[in-house]
Amino acid sequence: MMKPRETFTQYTTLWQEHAAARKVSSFIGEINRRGYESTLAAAAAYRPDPMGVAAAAPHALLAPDYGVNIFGVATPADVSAALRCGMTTINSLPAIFANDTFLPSDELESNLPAGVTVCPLTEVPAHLEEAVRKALSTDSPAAALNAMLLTGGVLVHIAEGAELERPLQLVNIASAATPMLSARRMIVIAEKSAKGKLLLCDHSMPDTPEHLNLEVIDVHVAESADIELYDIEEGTAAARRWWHLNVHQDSHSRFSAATIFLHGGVTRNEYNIDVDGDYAETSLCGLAICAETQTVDNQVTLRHHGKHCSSRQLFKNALYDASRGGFGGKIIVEEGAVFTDAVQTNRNLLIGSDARMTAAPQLEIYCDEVKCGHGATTGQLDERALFYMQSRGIPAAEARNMLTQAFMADVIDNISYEVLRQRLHVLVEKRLSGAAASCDACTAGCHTLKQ
Amino acid sequence: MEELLKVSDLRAGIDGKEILRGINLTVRPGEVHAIMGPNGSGKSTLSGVLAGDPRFTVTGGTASLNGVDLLALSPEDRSHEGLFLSFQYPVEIPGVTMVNFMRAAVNAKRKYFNEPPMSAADFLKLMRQKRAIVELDNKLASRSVNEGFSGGEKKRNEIFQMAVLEPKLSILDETDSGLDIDALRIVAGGVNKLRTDRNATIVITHYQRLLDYIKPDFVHILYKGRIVYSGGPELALELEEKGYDWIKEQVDKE
Repeated sequence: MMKPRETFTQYTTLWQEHAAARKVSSFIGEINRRGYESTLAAAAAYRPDPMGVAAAAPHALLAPDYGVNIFGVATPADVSAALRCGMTTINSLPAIFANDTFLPSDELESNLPAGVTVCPLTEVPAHLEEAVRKALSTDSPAAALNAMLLTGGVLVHIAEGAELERPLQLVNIASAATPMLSARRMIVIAEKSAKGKLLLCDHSMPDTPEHLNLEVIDVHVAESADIELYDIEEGTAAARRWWHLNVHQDSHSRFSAATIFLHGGVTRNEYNIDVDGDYAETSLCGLAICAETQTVDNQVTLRHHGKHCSSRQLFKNALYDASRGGFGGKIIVEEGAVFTDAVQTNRNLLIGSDARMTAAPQLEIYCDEVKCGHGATTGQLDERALFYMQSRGIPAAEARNMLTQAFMADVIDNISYEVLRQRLHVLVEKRLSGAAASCDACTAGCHTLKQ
Repeated sequence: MEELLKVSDLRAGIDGKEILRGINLTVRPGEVHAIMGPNGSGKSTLSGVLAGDPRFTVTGGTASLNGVDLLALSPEDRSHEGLFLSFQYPVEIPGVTMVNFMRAAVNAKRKYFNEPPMSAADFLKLMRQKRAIVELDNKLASRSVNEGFSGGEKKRNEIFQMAVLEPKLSILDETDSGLDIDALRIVAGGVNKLRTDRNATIVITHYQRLLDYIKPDFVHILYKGRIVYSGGPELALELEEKGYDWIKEQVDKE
């Protein structure tokens, strides 16, 4: 058995051995080097979290011997074939990550609004390099490892006052014949008063063996800017995901994120939010429907530094069979963050008799004159409601699904992008009624990246 | 005449405590039976057991509806076979709209009888017709089931559901509780409109009041888990006048 920190150092050693032979741009090389140093530091400091869900712990996710695209070989893919997915019918501007290779669609390239730049990190314009360096985080284990291994990645830059109205949809596709680790990085910089919507979808090709998606998203929301980020996971049981969201918010900015887990294997979602400015608003939502041995662990750290800021967190899990759910929510109200208004809610349904939920809500408040609340509940479906529905002829399984869907409804209703909201209601209903919500049931036939 | 409901020596309890201690009851099509009795006599247990409430455990006896063994069926199949329970305390189901709830109920029954789901237009028409029977506001259709409904609206909603499902046997469990006189008249009026010579109703009530509106053919007195006295409508009036004490004395003496 590898020691926890060795699960990190197996990759630093590999990287070190091949660093000289890598052919990457000096900009990427610099990021990799920074990631390498940070990973060594992260490995040295790494301690397993005794409260967390074991299967979704970083060292558990890293333990298998994954292949790494150390030489930055691009995965060839037919973008239009890959995008025949149902989710692309929501009027988005699509692009894909084929493993770790970013590929924009023609639709995206020909419809980018003025002031919006979307490009691979290998092609960052010189005037934005410094901003990217600043936004790209390496101070968490996920971000450090991701920076060391990244070969491409994508930058989304929205200039002052510009708006990305049609959402940028990034379809992440895992497709490999051997176990692979894909390091995907997205950097979103919204300048003053900029607005934008982003939609991330995770898919795995059916025959792909166990694979780890190491996805890091850095977001800087400048003064009065407004960013919405949605993430929908529809991978296979072979998918492992370590997702890390790192956000900085300036004054009067708004940021909202929602992670929706419909299909997958083991998922760890980390939210690391710093509300630096004053009068900023933050909304974080998570929804997971897990069955069999699926595992989803959402870990939130939200720091309020500025004054008069409000934050809302709503995380819900419906756990069937022997699935596992985790929620760690930490709100930190720093000294001086007066008039903070923070609410955190975590509600979980244990539907399967072998399902387990681990919830650890925490508040750390270093300031008076704040309003903070948190609530975490874990329970079962309302037996009275179930019997009432059955007594009207609704079969027990269907009644359970209707109640579960009702339980989830407020998370979806929180999503302000209407087209996506409606689509999600349908996807959740399909998921609960047993239909594969995505690839398997889809008739688009994009199961091969190349036609 | 054929028997719609036949209950023989039915025994049931909760948490190991026996509540029904041998119920015998026969209901034929077209009949209205009232079951009365003091608090704690087992009235709601009887209705719950017949509907398949999982809180109760049947320990003996039989119950059949149209010759079908009720006790062997799931609650949903009892509903499909024609049993309806109007709840004393209708359950609030946040997030499930009345429309979706009723559509699921209607189509589940159709599926049970190998019929295709009802078309959207037919379904809306059915809802409109049945709402009229209990003057249920259309606005409630888009609301969550019973959530935020007044006491009267909840009971009218029960009778509305009964109208939609067209049961063979309806059990109204304390439908009069919490109703003002106007709501009582509407609810009772709805029940009377749904009466035919092919269906039957069991009215469970504490008071005579409801029986002024829904006229029973038979009145049974339930006490300590048994039907201890059966008679015609005049028995309800006698109870109203004399209370339950004379019954208790008579039974406890034996």
